[in-house]
Amino acid sequence: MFNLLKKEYRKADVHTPKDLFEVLANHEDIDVVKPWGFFDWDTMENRFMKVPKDVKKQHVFTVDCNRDPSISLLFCQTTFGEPETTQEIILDEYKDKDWGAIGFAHPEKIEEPGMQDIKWKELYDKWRPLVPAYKHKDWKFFMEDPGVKRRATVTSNTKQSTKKLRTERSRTSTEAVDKAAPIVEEGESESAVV
Amino acid sequence: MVCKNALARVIGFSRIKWRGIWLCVKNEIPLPMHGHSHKPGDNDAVGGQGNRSCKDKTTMDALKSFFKFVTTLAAPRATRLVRALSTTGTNTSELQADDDDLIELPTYLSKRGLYKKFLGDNGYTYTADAVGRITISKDDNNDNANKLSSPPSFRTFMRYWKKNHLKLVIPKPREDICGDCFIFANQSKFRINQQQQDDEAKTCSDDDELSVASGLDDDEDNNNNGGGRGSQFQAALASEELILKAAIHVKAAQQQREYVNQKIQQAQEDQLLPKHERRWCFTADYAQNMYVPNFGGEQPGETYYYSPVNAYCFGVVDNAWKQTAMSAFVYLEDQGKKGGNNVCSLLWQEFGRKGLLPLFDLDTGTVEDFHVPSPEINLVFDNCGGQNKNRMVFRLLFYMVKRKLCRVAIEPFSWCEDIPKTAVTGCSIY
Repeated sequence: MFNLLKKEYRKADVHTPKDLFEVLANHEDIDVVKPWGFFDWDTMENRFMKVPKDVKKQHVFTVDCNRDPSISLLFCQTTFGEPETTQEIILDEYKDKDWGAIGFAHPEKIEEPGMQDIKWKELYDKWRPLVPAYKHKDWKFFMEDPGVKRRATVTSNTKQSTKKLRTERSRTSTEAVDKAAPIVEEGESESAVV
Repeated sequence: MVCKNALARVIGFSRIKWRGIWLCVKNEIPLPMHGHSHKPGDNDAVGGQGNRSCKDKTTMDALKSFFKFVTTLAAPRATRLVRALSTTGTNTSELQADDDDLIELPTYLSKRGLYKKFLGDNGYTYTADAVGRITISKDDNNDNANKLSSPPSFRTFMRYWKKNHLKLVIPKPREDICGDCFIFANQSKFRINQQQQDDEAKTCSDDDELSVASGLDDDEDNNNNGGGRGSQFQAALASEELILKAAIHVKAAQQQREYVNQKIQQAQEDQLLPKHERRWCFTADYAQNMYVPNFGGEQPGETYYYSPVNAYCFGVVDNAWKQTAMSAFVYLEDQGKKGGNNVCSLLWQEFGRKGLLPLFDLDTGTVEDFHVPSPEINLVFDNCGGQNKNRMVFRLLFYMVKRKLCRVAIEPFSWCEDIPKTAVTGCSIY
């Protein structure tokens, strides 16, 4: 399905987000939706719940109000058909309470991260001349100049960061590693492979 | 009476061809034959299309030996190898590639590249310019320069491939291959190589023994054999352990796939029921990033060095319908990231679109009494830790049940991304 979605996109010239939506919406089985916003579920959930543990090996997670009327247990299985384990997730003070109704218990909206200054600068300076002029009005970053201040910040950031990165990049001498004792003993080599 | 033009059209002849045939009949001249008709070719030994290379036995032999060599380069992908080793993959009908006879070459090979290598092996140089014009010239320095009288064309090369090695394919590169399968495959490949080396070494030593030491003591000979048997036994034991591990892995993946399929079937059975009586099953995942601006039609060279803005796409499929429709939530990197909070928010929005969200009492915040929760909602994800498999998505299940979206909320994660095709037919989210 994702392939179908992107089939047209790969061939098309997409200059603005509006173009992207138009291209993606071409396929009849695909309904392109604009998100209405993102919410901070983590903070809201932290108020009422603990963090589930040892979830890496588990593959089926169930919350079942028929088996657990208090809705506080997370049923976990490594695979379907394997024995179930349970984890108490709801905090003790909220057990047997309608915590969903406390202060409406809804997640707060997360602020949009915004465009990186360096990308804004690049969009305006480099991409804009390649995009047809009549499409500039469709995207803010083609219309508005990032400004002198932002440009200065980008330049100083780039210079500082690259210099800093180069000088502070961690290095390990290969000679030192070769001289050191071997990590795997000869007897262990068989077990290390399998 | 039938008009001759109409008759010609019915037969499928053009006007000129019809006229030529008519003139031949009128003047009692035999009908003209195509230059290649009834000449030996690759299609038929007697009456196929003529082809110089196909008539040449040397060329055919060279192609035969080349494809014999190419077949040795075959490297099955990790999951296929694991399935073959464990021999538990009996339910092949739902696997992503059903054909077990396929011989898969490494993905870095290309058809043109192989043709180039074939020519190179037989004393010809293949060069292509920037526009795509191809030149094939004889390489006099090559020892095989005079092996072939004339090089076969790419078309002949491909025709031979299709005719004689149809199952030999160059697959597309795959992503999201299961990590465990990959490790198993590497280990088993290592074992196979080691075994081959041991066998070769043993053959060499046997030859030496036969030629040089025909008068060795019987005791010494027995000792050597005993040592060989010991190492063979160790190797067999190790590979057996490996296969057992792989078998457990494949079995678990199959069980998980069957479970998800069962949930999808339940959702399809309930598709015509009212919303509050249906068992729902959604499959969701992020697609690979897209970019804005994207010059897909014509790409100016310098744009290669520019960094475009990332566009993210989160797809949610309602598996209740066999003809699946996907809701694609598309947003740019300045609007949001790709973490657990985003996954939860978009799922919640999809529940809203499906009319599953309850109404709240605005004074108390409690769900209205008239709201009836659905019996079950299943959310199928791949096993991507951090993005889909994280604390926010797990705890969303509690919120769903507490806010009376459903009575049971289940999140099955696919065990292995490539072995189970967990998504419903027509949806290849994985």
